Amino acid sequence: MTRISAEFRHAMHWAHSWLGVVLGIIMFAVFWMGTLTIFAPEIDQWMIPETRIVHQERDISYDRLLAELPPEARASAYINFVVPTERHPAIGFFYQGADGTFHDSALDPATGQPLEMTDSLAASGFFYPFHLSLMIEWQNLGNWIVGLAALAMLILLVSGLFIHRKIIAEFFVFRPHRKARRATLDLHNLSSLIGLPFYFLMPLSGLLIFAFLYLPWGIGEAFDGDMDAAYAEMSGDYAAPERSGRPAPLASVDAMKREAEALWSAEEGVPVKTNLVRVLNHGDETAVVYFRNTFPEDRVVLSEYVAVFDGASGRLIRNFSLPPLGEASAWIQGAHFVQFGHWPLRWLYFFGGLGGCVMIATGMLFWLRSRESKLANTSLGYRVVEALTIGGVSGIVLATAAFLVANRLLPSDAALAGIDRAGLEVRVFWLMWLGTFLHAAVLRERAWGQQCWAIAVSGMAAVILNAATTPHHIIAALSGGHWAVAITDIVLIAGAGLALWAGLRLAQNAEPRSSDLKALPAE
Amino acid sequence: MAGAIQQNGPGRIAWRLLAAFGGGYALVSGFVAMMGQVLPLIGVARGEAVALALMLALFIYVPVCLMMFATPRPWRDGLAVLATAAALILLARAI
Amino acid sequence: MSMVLLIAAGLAGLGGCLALALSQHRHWQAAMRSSSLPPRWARRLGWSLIAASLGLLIMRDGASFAMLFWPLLIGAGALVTAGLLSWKPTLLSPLSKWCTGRR
Repeated sequence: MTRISAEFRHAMHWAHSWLGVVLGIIMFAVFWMGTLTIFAPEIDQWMIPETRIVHQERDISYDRLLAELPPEARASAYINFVVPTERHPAIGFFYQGADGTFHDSALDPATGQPLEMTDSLAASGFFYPFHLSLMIEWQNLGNWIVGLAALAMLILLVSGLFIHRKIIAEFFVFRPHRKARRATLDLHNLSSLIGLPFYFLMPLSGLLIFAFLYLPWGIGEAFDGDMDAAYAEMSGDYAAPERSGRPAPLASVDAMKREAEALWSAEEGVPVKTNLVRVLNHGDETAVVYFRNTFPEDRVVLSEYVAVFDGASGRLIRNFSLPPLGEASAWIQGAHFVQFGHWPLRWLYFFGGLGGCVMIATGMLFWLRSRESKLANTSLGYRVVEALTIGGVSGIVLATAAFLVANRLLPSDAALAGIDRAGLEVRVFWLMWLGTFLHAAVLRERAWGQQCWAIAVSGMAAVILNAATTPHHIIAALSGGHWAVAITDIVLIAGAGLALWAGLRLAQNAEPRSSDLKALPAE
Repeated sequence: MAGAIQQNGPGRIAWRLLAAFGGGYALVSGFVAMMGQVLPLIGVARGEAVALALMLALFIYVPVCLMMFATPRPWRDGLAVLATAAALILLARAI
Repeated sequence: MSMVLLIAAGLAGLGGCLALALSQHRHWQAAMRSSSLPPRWARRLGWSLIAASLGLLIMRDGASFAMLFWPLLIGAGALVTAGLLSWKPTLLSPLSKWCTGRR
C-alpha cells in the first residue's frame, strides 16, 4: 500500500467520502431491509398469525387442489402453487383471474382450504420489495437507485482499502475509550474489514440477480433482441402459447410432478424436489404444467431444474437444467437469496447484515465528527447530513418497530379513507420515518438517544402485543414448535435491549460541545 | 496537481461522474453484447457466453469508475472509456 | 457430528485470529503487559488454524457452503478477538505460560 501515490489515495478518499455521504442512507436502508428479509418467512408468520402452522411432511395432491379451484380461476392463464416447506408451511396459491387481476393467498396444507389471513404485506410484501426497490415502482426507478447504491458500495469498499494505510497493523484495533472521532473510525474500519468478503458478495450478487433489468440491451444482442429466448435459454423459462379456446381436461399433475422429480433426482444423484407447481392456460387444450426447483434446501445453487409438460396429454415437453456457467451464476445468486437450509449460516448472514449497517452508520458518523471540529457544524450541509443520518439509521429502525406494533394493534377490518389495513400499516411506517427525520432536524444530537429509547419501548411493545393478541406468546411458541414466532420475539427483545443500552450510553456520554473543539490527536 | 479531483471544478467533476457511471455503463453493455456475439463463434452457447460476461461485468465497471475518479487526465480518459464503449457496441452489432 | 465440526471450526477460527493478533507487537504487549516480543511461530499457527477452520467446514458441508460460511466465521472470530483486545487484553496473558516470548 505504500506504493500507492498520495494523489491516488486522496482521490480515493474524495470518492469514498462523497459517494458515502450522498448514498449512505440509501445503502443503510437497503442493508437494513435486506437483513430483515433473511427472516422474512419468520416475520410473515409473526405478522399474519393465521399462517403459524407447524410444518409436517405430507403428500399434497395438486390434482385435488386444482379440482377445488375457485370459479374465477378455472380458465386462468396462470395458476401457481408454492410447495410448503419448513419455513413456509402454508401452500402458496397465486392465480390470475378472468379479469386479469392477480390473487395471492395461502392454503391450509392439511385441508387445502384458503386461510383467512390478516391483511398485511408483512416482510415478504414490504421489507423484501423495499430492499430491492425502496417501494418506488415507477419505471423501475427504485431498482435503478438500489442498483446505483450497490455499485457505489463496491466502489466504496475498494476505495476504502486504498485509503486505509495500516490495514494489517490495525486490523484488530478498536479503541472505544478514545475520543468519539477515533473510536468511530476504528469501529468503521473494523466492521468493514471483518465482513469485507460478505459486503463485496452481497451487492455483486444482488446486481447479478437483476442483470436482465440492468443490462437488457447487452443481453438482448446475443439473442437478436428476443428476450423470451434469452430467459428460456438462460433460466429455463417457458412462454405458453395463446389459448386456443378449445377446452380439454388436465392430465394428472401429481403424476407429472413425480416424473419431473424422478428425472431431476436421477440427473443429480440425490433427491430433488420441485418448489413450484404451475399451470398455464388451465382448462384449455394448450395447457402447460411447469415445475421448477427454485429454492433447494441442500445446496447454494438456485433454480437449476425446470420441467415442462403438455397439460392435456401429460407428456414431457422440456427438461431444462443449468449449464456450467449458468450454474456458477446461480451459485452467486443463491448466495444472495440464502433460502437454503443452513441455519448457522443464516444467522451469520443476519449478523453480517447488521455489521454492514454498523459499517455504513459509523462511516456517516465519522463524516459528521470530522467536520464538527471545524466549526462547520452549524452549516446547512452539515445539518442536512446530520438529520438524514439520524433519521436514516435509528429512524428507519424505529419505523420498522412501529410497523410491527401497528400490525398487532390495527383491527382486522381496519380501513381509512379507502386505504386497506395493509396500506395503513405501511403508512404508519412512512409517517414514523418522516417523523424521525423532523425530530432529528430539530433536536440534532439529542435525537439519537431519544430514538433509541423509542426503539426499545416499541420493540418490547411488539412482543407484549403478540402475547396479548395471539395465543403464541414466547413460551407457548417455543413449546409448541412455532420457531418462527419464537425467533422473532427473541430478536425483538434482544434488539430492544440493545437499543436500551445504546440510549443509556448516549445519555451518559453527552459531552458539552466545547470538548470537541480541542485539537484532536493526529491519526 | 491541477488534475487532482479535489481541485477540479464542477465541470470536470461532472464529466468524471458521467464518464464513470454513464460511460462505464455503456462500456459494460458493450462488453456483454460483444461476448455474447464473439464467444458463440468459437462454440460457446449464447446463454453461457452472456452468463460469463455478466459475472465479469462488475470487475470492469468498478475499476473504470475508480480510474475516472483518480485520473489526473479526466478529459482524455473519459473519452477513452466512451470510445472503447462505442467500439465494443459497434463490434457486437456488426457480428 | 456436524455440531462438533461446527464448534471445532469456530474455535479454530477464533484461535487463528487470536494467534494472528497476538503475533503483532502492540497486541502481544497489551495482552502480556510486558515489552517482550511475540513468539515467531504465532503467525504460522494463526494461519494454520484459520486454514484448519476451512478444512473442517468443507468436511461438514462441502466446498459450496464452506465458501460462504468460512469468511463469515473468520469475521466473527476477528470481531471477538478485537473485542477481547479492546476490553480485556490481559485475559490472554495466561497464554504466556505456553510460549516464551523473545526479548
